[in-house]
Amino acid sequence: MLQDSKTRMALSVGQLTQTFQSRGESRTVLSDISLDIREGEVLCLLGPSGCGKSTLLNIFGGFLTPGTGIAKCGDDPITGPRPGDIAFVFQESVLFPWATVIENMETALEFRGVPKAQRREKAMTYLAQVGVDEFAQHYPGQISGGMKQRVALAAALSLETPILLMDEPFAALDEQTRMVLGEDLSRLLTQTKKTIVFVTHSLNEAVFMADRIVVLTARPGRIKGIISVDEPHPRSPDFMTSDSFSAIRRDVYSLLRDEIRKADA
Amino acid sequence: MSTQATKDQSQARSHFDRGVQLGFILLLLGLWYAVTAFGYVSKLLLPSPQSVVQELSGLLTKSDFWFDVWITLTSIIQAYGLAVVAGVVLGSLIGQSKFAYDVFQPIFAGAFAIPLIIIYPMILYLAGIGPLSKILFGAIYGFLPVALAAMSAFANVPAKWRRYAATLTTNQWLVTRRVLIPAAIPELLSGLRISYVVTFASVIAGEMIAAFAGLGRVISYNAEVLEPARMYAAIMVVIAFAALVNSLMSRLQPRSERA
Repeated sequence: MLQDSKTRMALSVGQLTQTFQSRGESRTVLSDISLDIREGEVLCLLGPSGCGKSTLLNIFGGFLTPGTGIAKCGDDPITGPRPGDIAFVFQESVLFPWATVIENMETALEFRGVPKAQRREKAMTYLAQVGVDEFAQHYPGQISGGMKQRVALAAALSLETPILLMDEPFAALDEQTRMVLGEDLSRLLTQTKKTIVFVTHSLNEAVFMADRIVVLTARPGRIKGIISVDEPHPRSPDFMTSDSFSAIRRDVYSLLRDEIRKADA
Repeated sequence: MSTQATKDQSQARSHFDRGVQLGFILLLLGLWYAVTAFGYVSKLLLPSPQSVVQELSGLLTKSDFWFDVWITLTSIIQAYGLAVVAGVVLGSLIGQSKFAYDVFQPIFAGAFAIPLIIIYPMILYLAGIGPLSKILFGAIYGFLPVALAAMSAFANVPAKWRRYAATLTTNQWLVTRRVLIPAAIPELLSGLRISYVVTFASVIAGEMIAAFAGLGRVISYNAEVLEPARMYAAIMVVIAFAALVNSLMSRLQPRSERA
């Protein structure tokens, strides 16, 4: 199938190689990565530990400048974080402990220049969407890890950016909580039509949420293969027990298996 | 267990703690009374509690004494005000830059480790025997812990919050107001408490070395003229003042500790 010429690229990298210096040794974490991410697609970066998937996400987020090669958001080279275009959900909780959940949400909106009169209502709308509106008056120290990540997600969504990047947002949570959050996220993302790039360790999470799964090799990370998931969003939990889910999961795993062994060695 | 029951229990425990503390103070007072009443120590070293109380009520009715209290109080306020403003401003600026922090933190920490009372003669040359000398000395000594706390508080704001803020806005002033300052407050508050203690001690010490007025002067003067009961009475006033301020200061609790 030919690429539709009208499809715009939300994010892209070309011939990207990233090398870090540590203790006199240079370590190449990403090697010759070229990837176009289409507007409105949900793309998952999957690979063994240390393959550079978080590094790639940090380059998209503007926290790292590409060593060689280029990273672009639309037609602009990425030179730093882009508050108007890209929202980021971090692996660890970044909620401010001195502010309540609702105040955390309002601070994020204040940063984006939303007028004071609109902040509370908007914050409550997004908290309700991720199902934590009843905890609005709690401090982050008073709610569970899963709730904190829901709040972080609500804050990221409330920024109403076209692009959302998520760095293993559910990694710290237990399996059940991840499943429920995954379902909720799939439903939410269908409504918002965002471009989403997320990093995960979980095969199930990848297949359940992504339109395309990019499998990276062990360090230095190269693109081993890209697998499409042609199931329309929102995806129901039934999808997870379907034959097509198992088939895709098997394909992804066969790409991943050798790389995990290499990373372990 | 219900939260109400836990609350009652911790309240009962804190009443018990208070009772033991009060008992301990009463025990010391009883001991004081006993050793003086039975003549175990010289009246010059330790006058009886009754004579101290008598001197205290005498002092509290004299306008001279209230003038001394006023001088000490205003000196502490001025010295502490200078220390806090200079310490917060300079410390927060230094804490913003890793280079400045690495250069200045050891210098300030080293200076705070010196018993700065050794520079008091120089301050007297510079500022004379009036209140200015002790204000200056208290301000310099009290400035160091505030500056140290402020620079470390700002330097240690977790990188994750800076990164998060960078994804939200490019307005650095907003980031400072909404993220850096609130994150720095707990450590800053502990610096403010240390600074207050140091400033208070420095002002009193300055008054004891060379001054025309102030509580420190009242104490050292009455020691010189062999009026120990009056000296102890003035000491009681200083202790009462310190206890009052300390209980006010301990109420300064950062919001994040409520969780």
